[in-house]
Amino acid sequence: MSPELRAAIEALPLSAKGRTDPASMEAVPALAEDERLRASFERIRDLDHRIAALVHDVPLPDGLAGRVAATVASASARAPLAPNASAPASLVRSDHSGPNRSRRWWLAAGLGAIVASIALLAMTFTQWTAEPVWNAAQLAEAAARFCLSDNATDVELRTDSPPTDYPFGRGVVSPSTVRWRLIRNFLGQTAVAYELPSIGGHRATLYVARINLSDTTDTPPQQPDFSTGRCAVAVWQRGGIAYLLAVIGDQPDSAYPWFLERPTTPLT
Amino acid sequence: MASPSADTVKLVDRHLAEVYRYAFRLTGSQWDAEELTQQTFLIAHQNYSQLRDFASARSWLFTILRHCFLRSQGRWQPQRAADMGVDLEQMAEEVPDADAIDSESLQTALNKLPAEYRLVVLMYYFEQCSYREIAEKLALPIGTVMSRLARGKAALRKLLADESPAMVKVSH
Repeated sequence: MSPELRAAIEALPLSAKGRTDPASMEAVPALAEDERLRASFERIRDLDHRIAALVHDVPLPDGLAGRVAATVASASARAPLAPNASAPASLVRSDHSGPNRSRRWWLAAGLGAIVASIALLAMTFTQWTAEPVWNAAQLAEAAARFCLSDNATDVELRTDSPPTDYPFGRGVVSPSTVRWRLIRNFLGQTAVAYELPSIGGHRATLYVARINLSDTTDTPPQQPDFSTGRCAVAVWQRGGIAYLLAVIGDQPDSAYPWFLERPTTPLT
Repeated sequence: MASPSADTVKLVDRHLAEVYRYAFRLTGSQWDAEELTQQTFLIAHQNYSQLRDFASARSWLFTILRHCFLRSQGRWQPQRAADMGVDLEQMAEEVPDADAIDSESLQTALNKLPAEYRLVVLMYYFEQCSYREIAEKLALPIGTVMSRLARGKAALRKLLADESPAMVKVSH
């Protein structure tokens, strides 16, 4: 059997309705002619149907709906929209004009305001009742993924006084000039990110957020809680505030201590 | 400035479960899946005016989800199409007994597929897209999609067979 025929057989749709395309037109007669091939295909097809059913068998985590609603409500209530957020252009509709557009907009805005209020109330209720509690390792891993896609150079850093609710963390090397920015959706929460001066070619950011942690210290740990080849993250909590120190660069584990209050500076 | 409109609430209410499940199958991690889900609905909310028809919302959300997933893959751990050791001309392979696999073993196997294969395979199984639809949605040549689908499915079967004691030998 040629690879092309094999690929055509594998690509046969799970339901019979779509078998009129050229590949199916090639595969179906081949299967009809070869009994052995057909028997093999039927076993594979049984498995295909089983997999197609199993892929949907995923339990939903508790409180997911509340957290998603809170994220959307939070972004709506506070944030300018992400500049790079985009949806596929192929689905853009063209009927944006018309005499009733303004009326519809106001109606939608009014309705939206009501729904936003309800969503914010729901968010508050959710936070009281079922706010997610992270452990340090999970939070550090999630934060590492966030950090690697968080491009601080795209954002204008501020040098005025940061929000007092999100203070700079003790135990981290203090910059002479505090440079910070607000992040609207840091793992579903608002956070302040303090950019630290680079050391040895490594970039470091201290994220400060109101996130519940179940198991962590109240000072920066000696070693990161999670690291990859490019990013190391340490987590600690003080006064109900979570601090995450992320170091990005080569061998970030080794560089992490340089950003602590008593750093072992690199030999240059 | 948009607010979480009734439309967005409806979108979340109706499609959250499917989006999360798809995200979980793609990422293999509850935390990543939740992050991807949040990102998907956030972008959907911000771009709701681009949705032509609520009836196509599922497909639209899946498209956003795939874009977010591919973007995260690009930044998080760039992967090249690895050689999975599956020869399309190979005439025999092991096929696990369909009843012997479960949700967990399926995920373990999916996690071992390179992302570009995992995505195509899941578009086939989860979205039940045809190879032509996959090619169109991913802007890939049809031949590339057919090859990835065939190799991805075969590799998945092999991985499942490795984990499953009950299997059926199939020869082509």
